[in-house]
Amino acid sequence: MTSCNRYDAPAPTRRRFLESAACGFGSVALAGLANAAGEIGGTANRFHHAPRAKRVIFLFMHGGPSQVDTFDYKPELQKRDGQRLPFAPAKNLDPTSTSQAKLLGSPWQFSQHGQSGLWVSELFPEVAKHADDLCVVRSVQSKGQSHGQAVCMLHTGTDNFVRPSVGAWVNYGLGRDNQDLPGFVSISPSASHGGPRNYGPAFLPAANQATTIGANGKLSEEASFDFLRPRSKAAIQERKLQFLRERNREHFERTQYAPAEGMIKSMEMAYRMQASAPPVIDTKDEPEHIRELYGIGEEKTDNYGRQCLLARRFAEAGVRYIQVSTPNVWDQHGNLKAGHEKNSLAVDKPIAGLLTDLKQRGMLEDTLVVWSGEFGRTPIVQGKNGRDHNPQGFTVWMAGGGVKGGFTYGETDEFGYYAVKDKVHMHDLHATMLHLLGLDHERLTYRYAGRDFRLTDVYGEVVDGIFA
Amino acid sequence: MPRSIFIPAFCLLVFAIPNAPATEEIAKGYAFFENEVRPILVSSCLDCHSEEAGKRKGGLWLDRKAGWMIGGDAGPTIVPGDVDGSLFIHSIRYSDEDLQMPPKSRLKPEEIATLEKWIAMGAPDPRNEEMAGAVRDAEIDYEAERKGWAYRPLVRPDIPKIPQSIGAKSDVDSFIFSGLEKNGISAAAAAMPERLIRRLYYDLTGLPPTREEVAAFVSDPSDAAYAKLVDDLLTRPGFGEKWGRHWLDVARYADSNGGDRNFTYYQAWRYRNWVIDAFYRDLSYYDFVRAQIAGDLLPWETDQQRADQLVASTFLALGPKMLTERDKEKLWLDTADEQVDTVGRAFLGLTLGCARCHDHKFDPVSQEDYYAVAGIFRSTEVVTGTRNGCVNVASWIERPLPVGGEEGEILKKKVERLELAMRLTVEKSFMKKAGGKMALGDLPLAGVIYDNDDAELVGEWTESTFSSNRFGANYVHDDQKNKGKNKIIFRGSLPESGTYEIRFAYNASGNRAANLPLTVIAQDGKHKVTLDQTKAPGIGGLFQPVGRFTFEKGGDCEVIVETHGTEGRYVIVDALQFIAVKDIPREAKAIAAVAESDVDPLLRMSEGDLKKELNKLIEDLKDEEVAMAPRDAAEPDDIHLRVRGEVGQLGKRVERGFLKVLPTGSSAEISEKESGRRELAEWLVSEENALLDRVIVNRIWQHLFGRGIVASVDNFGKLGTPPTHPELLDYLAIEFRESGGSIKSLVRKLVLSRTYRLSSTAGEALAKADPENRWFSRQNRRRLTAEEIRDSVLFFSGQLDREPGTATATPHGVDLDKPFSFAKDKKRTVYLPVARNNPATELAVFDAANPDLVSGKRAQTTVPTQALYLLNSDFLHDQSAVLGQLAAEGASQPGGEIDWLYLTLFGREPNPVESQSAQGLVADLSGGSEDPAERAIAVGHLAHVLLASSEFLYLD
Repeated sequence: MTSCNRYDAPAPTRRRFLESAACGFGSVALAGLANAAGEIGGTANRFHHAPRAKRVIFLFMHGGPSQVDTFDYKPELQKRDGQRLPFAPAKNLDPTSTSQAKLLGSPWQFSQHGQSGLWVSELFPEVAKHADDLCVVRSVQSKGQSHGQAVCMLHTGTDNFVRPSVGAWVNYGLGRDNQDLPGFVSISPSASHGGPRNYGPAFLPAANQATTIGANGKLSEEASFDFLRPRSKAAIQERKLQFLRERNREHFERTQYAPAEGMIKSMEMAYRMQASAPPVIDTKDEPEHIRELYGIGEEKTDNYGRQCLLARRFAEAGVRYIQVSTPNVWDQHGNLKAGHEKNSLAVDKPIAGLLTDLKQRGMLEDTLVVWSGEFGRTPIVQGKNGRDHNPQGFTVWMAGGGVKGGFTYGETDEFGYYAVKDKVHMHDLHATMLHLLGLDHERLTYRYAGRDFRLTDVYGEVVDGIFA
Repeated sequence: MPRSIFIPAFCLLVFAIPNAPATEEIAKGYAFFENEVRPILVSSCLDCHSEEAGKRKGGLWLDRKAGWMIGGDAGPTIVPGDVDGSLFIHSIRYSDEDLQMPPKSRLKPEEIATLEKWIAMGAPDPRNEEMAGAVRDAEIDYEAERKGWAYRPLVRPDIPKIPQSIGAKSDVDSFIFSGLEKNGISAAAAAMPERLIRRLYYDLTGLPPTREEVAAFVSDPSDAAYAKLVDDLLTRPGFGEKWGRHWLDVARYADSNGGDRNFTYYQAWRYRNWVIDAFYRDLSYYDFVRAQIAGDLLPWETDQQRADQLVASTFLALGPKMLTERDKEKLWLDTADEQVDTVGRAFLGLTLGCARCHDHKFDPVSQEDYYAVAGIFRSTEVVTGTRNGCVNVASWIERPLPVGGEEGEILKKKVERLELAMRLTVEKSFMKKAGGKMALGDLPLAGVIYDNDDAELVGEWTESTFSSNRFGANYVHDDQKNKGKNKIIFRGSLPESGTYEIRFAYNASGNRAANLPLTVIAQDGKHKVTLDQTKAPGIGGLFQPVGRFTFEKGGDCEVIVETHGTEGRYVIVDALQFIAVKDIPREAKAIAAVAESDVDPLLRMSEGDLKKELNKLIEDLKDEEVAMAPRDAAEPDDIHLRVRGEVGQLGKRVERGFLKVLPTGSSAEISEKESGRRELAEWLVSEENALLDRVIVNRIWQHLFGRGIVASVDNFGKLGTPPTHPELLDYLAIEFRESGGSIKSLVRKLVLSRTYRLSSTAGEALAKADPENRWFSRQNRRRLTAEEIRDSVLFFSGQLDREPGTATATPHGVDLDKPFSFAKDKKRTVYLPVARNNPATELAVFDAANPDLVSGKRAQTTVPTQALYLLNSDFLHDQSAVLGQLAAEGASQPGGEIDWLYLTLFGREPNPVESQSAQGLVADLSGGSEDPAERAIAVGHLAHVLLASSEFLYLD
């Protein structure tokens, strides 16, 4: 991509302008748009190495699901239920969980699944059917004992500074696949715990932020991108645009000012997005059996099912980074039993449906699906039926996109509290995700305020032990 | 040994022979190292800590003896012979969650045992390589750095001589045109009057001229008329609103916290309005700086001045904070960090935040410099207590504004009560709930109390309710048995760091232990004390102080009760109280007041009632005359440098002070009793600090010319861009200084220059000669800002409400998380609430500043979302429809609506082509109808596309 269309660059010649303007609605005119519009700076569209995954679907379990009740089976914890934790609990826990520090066995049964014999609790019976596709990392560590910090850590690689989100980095690094759609979409993101910071661009060029649809874990049937719906009838809008195009061209001819040309093009693109995005967003044309696969139409699973289905449609349409968020519901300081049962029920079938659907379309192999909370939960009890936050050791699983299936990596201690073997820090997870997408986390940098920034700051090691 | 030569491990023994041990014991030690220790180091450590691997994480090498002796960033790693005192062992034991090595997986227990044994042996290590490569990074050469263009003292430059024919209108032109001349560039022509006036109006007031104003200037564009117009615009309220907004970008102004909880900052608007007013009345920039850094500490003569200064210091409190951070020391340091970084960028164009973890990689700012300044802000209180009753969600300080008479006293009392409620709420959350009826339930004890139920009992203990003088349902005793084996461990968790008195509850009697051994594990290690249980406790007859100790929030805090040496006597354990020393007087007062009726009910409220009361107090105060101002901490102090910026990794203590690269000037020493903000402010504005002036004049230049003389306006460091016109920069800085820091004088000087009045159109020759307009050979075009777009549209439609806004965020609730709709709000955009994490779409889409960061220069992007907004937003549609009506009403003749629109929007009549094209559009969209209503709708569509056109959106 040329850089000659930058602000302050020599004005393009009249001839070149006519050439590009003549393309009108054609997609060719878009070739130079990204830069002309000041949209994407630097290293766009550049792989550092061959990618194993083309896109990411990140399933965010907001609130922090418990690893010892889902994917990290700890027989010793069950055995010593009610006994005191034989070592010191983490700092900065709520005093109600540290004064006693008594172990709480999982109220759920674990069993082995698939040919791999992966342990999954009865909270995820449908996801368990995909055991042989799951790569379960049981030794994840993060920073931030509170939600705010940990959620930002998960999404931006820092618990206290304002930094670009993972999706923004990916968008920045790889550019877009589909010029009519955003490269990064966040479905139903939370407004709390950092809100837009978690899908924002911080200092990266603004176009790298996520376009959102729905909010706070909820996706209504009518949800759409902002301002996508035309306010006037198509004929009226088309006539107005024709006038506008003429006026803008005239203005550009007079000024030879590159951003004015960028505006002309972005108007064309906006016009096209009005037509091209709604068919992707509207899931009504999906056959009934597919909708059923995701649990759409069933009361408990309908909402997350539609989010997951939409994620697949975005993935198909070329969006690179798609996040699907639950509401902030996993935070069971109390009411663990009923709470986790309700939450897992809401996502289990939709996630399993997504995996099945991706697989049957041949997309799982180049789609990296990641399932994660901002942290896990303590094996010690809080109150009588709850668990406190635990960034010291928790589970993230991945599927597809170049990771080993039916595989577990890393370990926590015998109670599932601290990661002790093959620890994977959040920075490592980020480095690994970028690596799978063909990006080197140490080379994906952006210069801001006097230095080169990275998603992983000065940390991060690629966990190649999980690569297929 | 040269650094580049690496000697493989197997060679070492050979080379080591000259230094070979003399005794057999040492030989044995070396053998142990070779056989047992080295393999562990090789397999688990050297990947990150050796010259061969090219990695020296944490500054530590473990591939040579000198490596671990000197140690890394945290000091010596191994103390030979001292297993427990060696950081190395500490980290491999995984006992500290912040320091665990190897980071990925714990060593096997037998490996840890081997390494412990090795250190116990005295850590024999035959690896004698020198630390050639281990020399610390070179010290910053401040003397040399001070001569750099950004830091050096201001010297008035000669004004370049340029030919008269150029028609310079000010000294500014002499600098610019001599630069052009040297580079053989001829400047663009003067801007056409109708374009110049549009630019001038927007630049100075953020609003367009009326058609009459355009006409008047076009008919007389003389220098005198222009100068008169400039003076007029400088005195309009719009000047304060436009230029105040520039500063609000720099000040990362917002009406909500952002961070993790988006609490509404009910009082932030006062700062916003103060800034607008400061620009409007041309407050000296030096006073402007002083007030923002230390307004709460400055002397005052009138209540108004006091109020202004308090409000100005809100600057420090405005930043985004992670209020849910559980580690309060980290919260304090992160808050200080945000302030250091903001002050650095805003006033000095320096990225001081870079030096939190290590010396600045590029600029002459050491980590010590950073902590010298950070100590000032760590000694400043901004966050406190709890906002919502949850102990983990902090709040911020609010201070009463001076309100005269009795009302003022009532207000002061209210603010004090709010803070007391916050503190008590935190305390209650930490106070353990004891079962049963508390004998001392009526005593308003402060701090944190642990009942015997909360402790870990080791051995056999007997519960008892025999004595009614007890805390909680019962107490335990050891029945005089199992001496030496029975023990009890209290594990504490305290709300904040500080010095606490520990008090032990028991009922006294002659047969109790007289020398009960207690071990207190505090921040600075273990302390042994003894307690005499034969003597009656001093407080309420139940709690007996056993000593004062310092604890860190989240750090070690244990009290262990042992029973050895108490044979033949009872040991009684009932409860343990931790009370912050500073709260002891308050508690004494509360206890004494129990019998009295006028004690503040807050002191005796249950946790639930207290939370309700807290919310009520917050709600009650949000509309009162209070400021979100900081204050000096009760115990201002220097702080420790933090190794790698980690809160828990203390380095050396750094005296509070300023940046060494800048002259210390006449600033006074920092008083021990104050934070040092007063001195910091004086140092910033001191005569000798030329950087402050360079940074602000450059900001002002940028707003008028589209690019700074230093293009990186927030970064005057090495990675910023050097000035294109260093002499001009210094000239402006000197003039600014001599004007007493008058922003208006500077703006006036700049807009009167010929350079400002150049056309933005570059002919082919000029575009080629100065493609980037590096030499300011023409004006730089710019897009209207988000605020200018919205304000202009309302201005055109006659709906702009020119009254200043006040607490515009308050009606939006406790958190600013819900999407905004400004449909009904017609005030100038600068007065609309700014929510972090929840930017109003119409502002965000046109690159309004992100209030999380200092942004002296806004991005200017062109993205399809803007086009979608322009095409489909309700705002543009609705306002265009109004404009259509107005045009229909305002047209002097049939078909005159088009002229009316062009005159209103662009200050000119349409040319014949435009006119014809517009007629065509209106005719098509009204279906050729003569019906005025139909036609007005069609004209509304025309207004819509003109507002979406590049001619409206860009300033020539």
